[in-house]
Amino acid sequence: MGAGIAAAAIPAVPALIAPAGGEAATPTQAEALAGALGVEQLAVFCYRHALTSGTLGPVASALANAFLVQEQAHAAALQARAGTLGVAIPPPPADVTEADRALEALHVRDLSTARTQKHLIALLETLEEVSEGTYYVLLGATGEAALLELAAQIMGNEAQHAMWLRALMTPRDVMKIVPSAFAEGRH
Amino acid sequence: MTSDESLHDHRSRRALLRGAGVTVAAGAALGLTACGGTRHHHVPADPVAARADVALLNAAIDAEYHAIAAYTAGIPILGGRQRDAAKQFLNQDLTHATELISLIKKAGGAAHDRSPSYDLGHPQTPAEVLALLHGVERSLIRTYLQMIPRLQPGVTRSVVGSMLANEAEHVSMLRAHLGLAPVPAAFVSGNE
Repeated sequence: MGAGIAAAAIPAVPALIAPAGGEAATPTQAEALAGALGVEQLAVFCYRHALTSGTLGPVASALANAFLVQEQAHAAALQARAGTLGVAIPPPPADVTEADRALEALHVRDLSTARTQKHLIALLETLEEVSEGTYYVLLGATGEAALLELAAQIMGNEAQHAMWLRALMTPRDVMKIVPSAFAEGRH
Repeated sequence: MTSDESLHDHRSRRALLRGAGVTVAAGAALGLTACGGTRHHHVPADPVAARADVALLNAAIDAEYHAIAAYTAGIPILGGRQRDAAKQFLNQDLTHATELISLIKKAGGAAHDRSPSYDLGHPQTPAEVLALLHGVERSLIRTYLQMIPRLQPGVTRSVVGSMLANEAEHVSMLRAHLGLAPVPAAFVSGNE
């Protein structure tokens, strides 16, 4: 796949990420919605990849399966809102190369080099935090009531995903599993 | 003041809150005051909207006070990892209350005081305490979900959203300790 297609997969995501040494500009509603949807589609791809990699143990697989279903529900709900609001729907990544490019734009490690459960869970946890961050941005960028409620509901669920993935990495340490009173993710 | 400046102000103040730590002591839990944040005060341009925000934020602080009272009363009955989690969640709800007081002051309002008492029932066992905490955290989520679409400044919606997401973490962990499915729904509603 060409770089153009990869870039188009999540056109709004770079606008949500602060450049080194500076603050990101406030995105429009369309950019923020497309960015959140792009990250959801990327999460669906990464969970599927992790589940088919054969490297996850039974507990991690059970979590990943459950979270994949929920990410698919998020993506479907966001696509419906995007359609209603006339926002262009970004295409999901077609393969690992495209996913890696999208992850790189988000400052998340490559999927292709994550070959152990530890690395895959760390990647998924980081991606969940990025997803939380897209909703933090979206809540500030839109005034549309239905989209605000949807974004808040999904943001809470992404925070739960990130929390349980952290619990896999650092069991028994609640300070690391639920580290902050403000689950705003990475943005 | 721009929204970026306002957001930066929130981040800086929260970093201070994290660094300072928040005591779990019941006295501190029930005697909150607003902190810092005098350099950049974001006040919504529309005074009607500001009054509406104050009412919404005060509803949230009432719910946070209720949760703080429940944790303060329930923690001595818990043990082990349940107690550790409850202490952490109490600290975080105290931080939320402090943040809400600050947001209310910035909107030009006055924060509600805590009630003299709260109806917490009579939990006697760890399971009963966990059920009480689960209930108050679910109520917090419903409160935040109702208010977010009605808040005016975008930065306030984002900050309140991050508190809602933290309450969703609390609910999920409490559900696990209660033996319930920890993440039962793709869309957090406060009914789970």
